This record gives sequence, C-alpha cells and structure tokens, in this order.
Amino acid sequence: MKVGIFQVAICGLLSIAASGCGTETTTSQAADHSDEEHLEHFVPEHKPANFSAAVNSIQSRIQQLTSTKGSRAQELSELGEIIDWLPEIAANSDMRRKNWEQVDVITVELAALFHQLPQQSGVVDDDLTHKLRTTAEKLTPLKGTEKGDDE
Amino acid sequence: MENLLWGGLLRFGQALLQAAPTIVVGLFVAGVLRRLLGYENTRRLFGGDSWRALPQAWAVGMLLPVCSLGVIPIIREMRRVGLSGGTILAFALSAPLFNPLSLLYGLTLSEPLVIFAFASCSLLVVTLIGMAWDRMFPQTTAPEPAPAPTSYGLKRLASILLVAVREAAGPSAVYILIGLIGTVLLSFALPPGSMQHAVNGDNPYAPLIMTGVAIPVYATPMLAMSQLGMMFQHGNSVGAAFVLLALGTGLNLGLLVWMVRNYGFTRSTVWLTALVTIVLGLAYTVEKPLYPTEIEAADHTHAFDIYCQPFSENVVDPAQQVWLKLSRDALAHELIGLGFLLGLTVVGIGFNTIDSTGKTEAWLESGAETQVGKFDLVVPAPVLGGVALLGLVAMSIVGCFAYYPPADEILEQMQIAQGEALSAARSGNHSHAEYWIAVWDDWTRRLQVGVTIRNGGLPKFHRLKSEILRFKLELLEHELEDGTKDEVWDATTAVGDAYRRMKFAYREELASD
Repeated sequence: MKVGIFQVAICGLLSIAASGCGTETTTSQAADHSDEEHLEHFVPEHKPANFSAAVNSIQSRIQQLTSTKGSRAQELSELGEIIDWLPEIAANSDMRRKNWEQVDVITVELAALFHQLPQQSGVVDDDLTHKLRTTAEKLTPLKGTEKGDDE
Repeated sequence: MENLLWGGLLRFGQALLQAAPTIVVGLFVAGVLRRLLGYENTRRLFGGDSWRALPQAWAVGMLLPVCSLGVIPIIREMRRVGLSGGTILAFALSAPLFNPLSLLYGLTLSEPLVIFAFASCSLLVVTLIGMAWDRMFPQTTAPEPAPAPTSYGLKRLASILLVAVREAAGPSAVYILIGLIGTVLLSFALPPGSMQHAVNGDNPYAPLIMTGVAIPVYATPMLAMSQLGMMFQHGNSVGAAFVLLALGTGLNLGLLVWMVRNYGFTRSTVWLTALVTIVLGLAYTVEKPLYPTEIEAADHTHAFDIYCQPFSENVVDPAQQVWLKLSRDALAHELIGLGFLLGLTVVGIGFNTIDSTGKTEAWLESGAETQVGKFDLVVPAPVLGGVALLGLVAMSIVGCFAYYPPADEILEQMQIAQGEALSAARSGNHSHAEYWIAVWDDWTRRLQVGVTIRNGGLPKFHRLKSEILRFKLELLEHELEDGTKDEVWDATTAVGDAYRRMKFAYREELASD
C-alpha cells in the first residue's frame, strides 16, 4: 500500500510539474519568440556618445535650469541620468584610472547637489545652481582625457 | 518529436554533469555522518531538538559544497538520526542557496547587496516555515537504531565508502534521478527561447511564471547566482528573481518526492503551499520597491534558455548536437565528479545486488576496537568525522583559489577566448563565437573574484571595466543573432576595445590602489 501511494505521488507530482510548466508555453509567448529579431538593449536618445559630450551636455543642461519655466521634470530626469552614467561613460574609454577617479568623485558631488533640486516646477535656489555649475566646471579639465594620451 | 527527446536528453546530461561533483560530496558526507560522526554527534551538529536547530542547520548547509541534489543523501541521514522535519527541510532548502564559490561569484553581480538580502530573506522564510512545521507536525521524526561501530583503520574507511556506494545505487539515486527528470520535463514544456520575455520587469505574472519553472528546475548555486545577476542586469522582474533564488536553488522534484514518501502527501502539500504562498507574497511585495531604476531595461533575457527545449524543428542530427554540446561544455571538475559518481553507482549496484542483507557491514563491524597495535594511537571516530567535515570546508576554500586564479593566468585564458570568439564572429561561425563569448564572460567574473580574494577588494574602476566588457560581449551576442555582417564587425571592434582597456587596467593600474 505504501509503495502504491509512493508511485501515485510520483506520477501526480510529475504531471503537476508538466502541466504547471505548460502554462509557460502560451500562444502569446510562442508569438513573442518569433520576435527574437527585435531583441535589443534600449539606448536612450539623450545618452552622450563619449565623456566630453557628456560633460558638455551636463554643463549646458545646468545652464538651462534657470531659464526653463514651468514643468521641467523631463529635463531634470535626463540630467540626473546623464550624471549617473558619467563614471560608466568615462570608464568606457581610454581614460586612465587617476583621471577616472576624479570623475567619480565629482559625479558623487554633482549627484548630491542634483538631488537637492526641486524635481518638479519650482524656484531653483540660485546658490544651488551656482554650486552645480561650479562642480560641473571641475569636469572641464578632464575633457579629452578619455583618449588616454595624457601620460 | 525526435528533437524533443534529444533535447530532453541534453538537458538531463547538462544537469547531471553540473550536479555530479556535489552529489559525490553529499554521498561522502552521508558516509562520514553515519560512520564517523555517529548519531548523537550528527544530532548535535544540527542542533538536535534545541531552538538552535534551524539556524544551525542552514549554517552547516552553507559551509558544505552541496546543491539541491547533493543534499538528498545527507537529509536521509538526518532523518535516520531523528532530527525534526523542520530542521531537515530548512537544511535542504538553505544548503544549496550559497556555497563558498557562489558566494564569491555573487560579489561580481551588479546588485550584490540586493541579492544577498534576497538570500537572507530566503533563509528567514525557510527557517520560519521549518519552525511552523515542527509546531504543526511535532511527531514526524523517525529515528533508526545507530549502526554498530566499525574496527579502526581501513575497515572504518571502507565503511564510509560502503555507505556512499550503497546510497549512490540506492534510494538517494532514485530521488536524484527524479530531480534530474524535472529538468527534462521542463524542456519538454518550454519551446526554445520561450523564457526570454516571460520574466520582463513589466510582466505582472513574472513571479507566478517563475514559480512554475523554479519548482521542477534543478539549478546549482552558481547557476542560480549567475541567473540572478543577469536578471538584475536586464531589468527583469525582481519578484521573479526572488522566487528563483528561494525556490529554484533548493527545491526539485526529487526532494518533493522524498518529502511525500517520508511525511505523507497532505503534510508535504501543506508545507509546499505555505512556502509558495509566502515566497510569492514577498516576491510581489518587493517587486516595485527594489526594481533597479538606474539601469536600462532590456526586453528579454537569455538566462533561462538553458531550461527550454534546446533544438528547434529545423535542427539536423540532434544526436550529434547533444554529444557535441556535452563534450564541449563539460568542465574538468564536472567530468571528474561524473566519473566518481558512475564508479560509486556501479560498485553500489554490485553490492546491493550481491549483498542485499548487509553481510559486508557485519564484517566491517566485527571485532571493533580490539585490533589496536602496540604503538597505535586511537583517534575517536567523532574527532575524525569533525576533521573530515572541517577538511571539506577547508578544501572548498582552497578550491575557491583554484577556481578563481590570479589575474595573469586569467588574462592568458581570456586571450584564447578573445581569439576564438572574435575570429569566429567575423568569419560567420556563430555557434563557435557564442560558445567562446560565454567562456569569456565567465572569465571576466572569475577575474573580479580572483583579484578580490587576493587583494582584499576590487576598485570600482576595475569592476566597471569588467562590466563594460560583459555588456559589449552581450551586444555582440545579439548582433550574431540578428545583426548584419557590418554590425557584427562593429560589435567585435567594440568588444576588442573594451577588452584592451580592461586588460590594461588589471595589468597596469591595479598596483596603484
């Protein structure tokens, strides 16, 4: 009797597993599979191509902060993303480690200041904008070091 | 239909190869527990009936290099010595979550802290469910009489081997086989590539789908860890990732059948339902708060292709493909493990057939503790057992240094992978290129761990360099799938640049740290 229960249990579990897994193979997913040719990683349009372009983009976007009126959620979101990408963009180049570490430190400072900005419409503190601009300026001497020929 | 069957065979072979080393470890640990450590010390090792039993069980489990199939001979021993069901199940589910190799591998992932937090949550869940089990079903222990002691020396060693061979061809083998069959059934149910979009971050059913996959699947700790890393990297469902870790690494069909056989269908169903409910509840709770917002989500993942049917309908000669894939993918330690496992099983079949009444055990136990020479020093069996288990832990730490060699050695290996992958990609040999891309990717992770364990850390600069190379490798993989010749060429150039920069960073810019 014990053996019988054991065998029934095995069959039951195997069929539960098989049918449970069957839910994975829905028509929609089979259709999804036919879309494999569309597999890709999404690269946002505002992602700069290289480090110098990223620095230019950050500096000009900070400059525009004071002149933008009304909602600037989109602009702020993009600026935040570019700041976040900066260490990765710099590392994806021939920039030497000591320069990259400077970039990393400045990025941390920039990110901290950026997060103090009102994220929707609102008055941007002049002092904060000035600090952001000054910090972003520190990146200027590092432009071009992504070619790695400074040593 | 023919392709389906050959595909199932391939999945079976791949899972068996991956599992073989840890199954062998599990078989010998069972032998050491029974013949050296003894019943009372085994109970003590796992905390006996005290409140410490559950945390102690998973602490021991994490130190032992076993997977969800390798734990089966050990949990059979645990049941034999009369440990509670809660303790045994906590050990069975938590031991495969981490081992030293996978723990170090986890350091290379994009979200290591979240992943370790997941593992801690999983440990908490299995501990709580174990406690609930002991409260709900208190009378489920089934202790057996302790075996008689064996003579010192060779007889004692032979008795450990005998336990291992009998288990390798006995009930443990049946449960392990059922566990492996789970991967075959899964491959029958999942068409090629069908999991690529199933766990996308925007799919509300992703944790549910993963539950259906994670229960029958067999995943080694390393595999689960790498899949988790890929899920975070691709912005897949966080809840599904949690389900994969909590259920995929610890559960398999063999373990469920063992439960039903030992505790009955009703109790096992209650336990499984509680486990799945809590895990799914937590999965949906963490889905939004922990979703990584800073990454660019991909609309797919290849992490679960390994569970799907490997061959599409137009594959010719699948039998040859199976052989080619298995012989190409098998790693040295897997082949050695498989050799040991087959050897143990063959000898075990011989013993179980010729000596089914245990005459050999009776002979090994005869004359115990009487044949001590004048100058012999008798080391008590529990001491030897403790040394054996500690030795196993020490060996797995040494194994970490072997598996993650120094940077120079790895960079030499990468040089080979680079040549093979890029030349194959440019010449249009896509399957060869894809194989070497995977090898190359793996070496980048081993490089990170190898440097970390030798230098005590890895600078962020170097971690990023490795991540960028992996990202470029993945893009190349995609171009191989659907890109034009020019796109493939551009992708190989990008990979070559990323590799050159990473190599320079590890060779020239590490010492300045």
